[in-house]
Amino acid sequence: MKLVALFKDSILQTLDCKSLYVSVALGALFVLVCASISYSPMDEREAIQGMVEQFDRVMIVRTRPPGGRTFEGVTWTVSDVRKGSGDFEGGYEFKLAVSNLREFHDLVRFWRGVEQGKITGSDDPVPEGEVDEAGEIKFLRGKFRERVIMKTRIERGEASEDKRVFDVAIRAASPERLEGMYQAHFFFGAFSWPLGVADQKLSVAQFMLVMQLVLSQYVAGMVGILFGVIFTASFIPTMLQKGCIDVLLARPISRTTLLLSKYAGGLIYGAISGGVLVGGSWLVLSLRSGVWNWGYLASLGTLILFFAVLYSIGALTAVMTRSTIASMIVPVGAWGLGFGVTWVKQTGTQPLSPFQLPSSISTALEALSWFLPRASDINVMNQWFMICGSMGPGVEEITSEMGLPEVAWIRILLSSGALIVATLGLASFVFSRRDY
Amino acid sequence: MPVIELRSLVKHYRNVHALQGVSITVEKGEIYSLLGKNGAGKTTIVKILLSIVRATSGEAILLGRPAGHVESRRKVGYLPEDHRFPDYHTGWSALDYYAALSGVSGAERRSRIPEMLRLVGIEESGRRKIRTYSKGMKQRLGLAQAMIHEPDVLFLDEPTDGVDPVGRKQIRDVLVHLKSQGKTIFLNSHLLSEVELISDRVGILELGKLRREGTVAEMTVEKDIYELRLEGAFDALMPEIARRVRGVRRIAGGVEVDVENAEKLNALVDYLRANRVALVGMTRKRQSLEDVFIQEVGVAGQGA
Ligand SMILES: Nc1ncnc2c1ncn2[C@@H]1O[C@H](COP(=O)(O)OP(=O)(O)O)[C@@H](O)[C@H]1O
Ligand SMILES: [Mg+2]
Repeated sequence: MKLVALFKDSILQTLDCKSLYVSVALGALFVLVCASISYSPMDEREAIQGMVEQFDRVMIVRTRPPGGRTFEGVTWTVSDVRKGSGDFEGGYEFKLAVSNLREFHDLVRFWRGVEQGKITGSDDPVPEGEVDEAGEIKFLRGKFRERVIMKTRIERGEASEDKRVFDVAIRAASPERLEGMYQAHFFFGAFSWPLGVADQKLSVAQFMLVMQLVLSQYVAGMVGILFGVIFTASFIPTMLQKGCIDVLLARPISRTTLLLSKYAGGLIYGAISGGVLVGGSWLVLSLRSGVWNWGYLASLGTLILFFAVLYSIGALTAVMTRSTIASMIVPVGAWGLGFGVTWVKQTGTQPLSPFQLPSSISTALEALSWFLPRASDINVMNQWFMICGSMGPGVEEITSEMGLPEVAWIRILLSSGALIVATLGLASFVFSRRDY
Repeated sequence: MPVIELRSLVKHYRNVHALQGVSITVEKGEIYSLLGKNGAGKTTIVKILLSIVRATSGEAILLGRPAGHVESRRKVGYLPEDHRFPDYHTGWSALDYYAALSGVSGAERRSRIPEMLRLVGIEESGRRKIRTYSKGMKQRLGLAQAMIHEPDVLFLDEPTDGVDPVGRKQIRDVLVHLKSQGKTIFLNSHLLSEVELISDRVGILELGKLRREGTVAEMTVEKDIYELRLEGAFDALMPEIARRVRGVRRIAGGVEVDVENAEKLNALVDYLRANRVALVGMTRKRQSLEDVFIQEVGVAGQGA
């Protein structure tokens, strides 16, 4: 009951300050903008044509930096596009004609070499070997799989000296996962954009992934958290004001409880407003696109964790200074400093960067970063969630190719938790010993 | 068992020696008033009892538990001097908040809050934001929050500060009402006349030391003061008058003397007559607490 009362007090405080309405309005506006995005199918033949035309490029992802090679001489022609039926309900059936056989077979051999790990650079020679019907079909199947189209039926029809014609049936996990199949309309149709950049077509699912990465990293992860820190900064200093704190301390409640519940109040406030922002935009984006990426929703958890770190620094500042302004500036400063330290350390230890750090300094920076909020950890976790969440059923086998970021879960969770516990512990130690 | 017990309480703030060994005992149902100039240490004593500040040494016991124990504050109400409420609250929501923190259930709060607002006379403003309240209204709200959870002990630090005379009377009535319910009240004040009317016992604090303590009666009957209206050249006799009495003060048209007994007073009158100074009027003055206070502390308390 006491905790509810303390939380209610924080809510009253935020309702009282007009800026909350501004932030709620901004959040609602943002969700509305998300809701204004709609999709409509493109011409099916053109879309499939656009997709297969990209089959001439072989990516070599195992090299650093990743490279690739394009076999431009091959021509691809899609015709007779029909809606799929039976097993391919929701997909498409069509004829695919491939001409310039010599180069097509070079492409297949090169692709096979990469798959088998024999080719490690884009300048490697095309390996020798026969390409039979099975080899051609395997190549096409692989190319569709690269585009997350797991269900295919490919049969070779007419075959001449310089041309192959295949009967193809494909079905993606959902139509939204077919590249180039949709165009997006923004602001309730005010302008339209066939999904893709240059000749790289995007599926709705890919577009959503990119967009949600940006939303979680910049909109919610930076603007949202910044607002959260600003709006909650006054909670503890107001409680500590001269004259106010006396009335509270005379109540039968321990100072640690008082501080921690105010802290929790700030967290719940952050979680609710973050939940509205992320949850709201997730819902409308998913409803509109048909792509339900739980990873975006899960990123709310990492954002709250990061906010909890920042807010614990704010709470300590508030106890030390009783100043709202300081409680805004110090956590944001620590955030910036953490970002800077990580950036300098990473840049200074990469082989081709403009400056190089001696190992003693980079070790010192690494050590320092443990005492600061680590935004980079949060971004990595969000990316992991969102890439995982964007994969449809049956796609696990190709996760390695999609390049899931490596996440040191235990280390991140433990270090964030330790930072929060240490900061709050110090804050409540100081608070408990102060004379007011 | 005493409700409040202080034993050799000492408090040093960095280099200020705010309390230098204060011992006070207050029994259940008493109204105890602590008098002293600003800076005497009154507020510090109350804050130590409520563990808002920590004593340097000595013991402070509240309701049988060492001050600082969370439970010792359950049945305690406190009106701080210069208190403030977060101004985003309304009178109602502030009372609801503080009552909840003191463990009053929701149903009880709903019935007690309007009652309290009425008792302190701000029922019409209960739903308004505190930032629109006058100083007097805030003081009344302060009193309400101190009583909302029906405490057994009340600490009131300068409760009539900033309240108009009518309000002062109302507050006094509330205190008398509380006393009739058996509550113990610990009052800090420099408004001597107010304290005098309702206190059972009074302590006079100066520079962190308890100078005197006793019931109002004990403190004020001890000395008999007579105001003598005189005619004649008595100024020249002042040294001799001073020799014959415990204390003398020149007032307009006469002197005020403090004598041990009636015999000495008669002797003084005889002496004056013999020196051709006529006595034209005489009043016996019971010493007010304020006089005691001024005597003890030397200067009148500010704002009194
Ligand atoms: N937080 C504090 N820090 C330093 N000195 C203080 C503090 N609070 C009170 N004092 C000093 O302690 C002395 C007693 O103050 P206080 O208890 O407020 O007296 P009173 O209530 O009788 O006016 C004063 O000299 C005051 O300046
Ligand atoms: Mg005081």
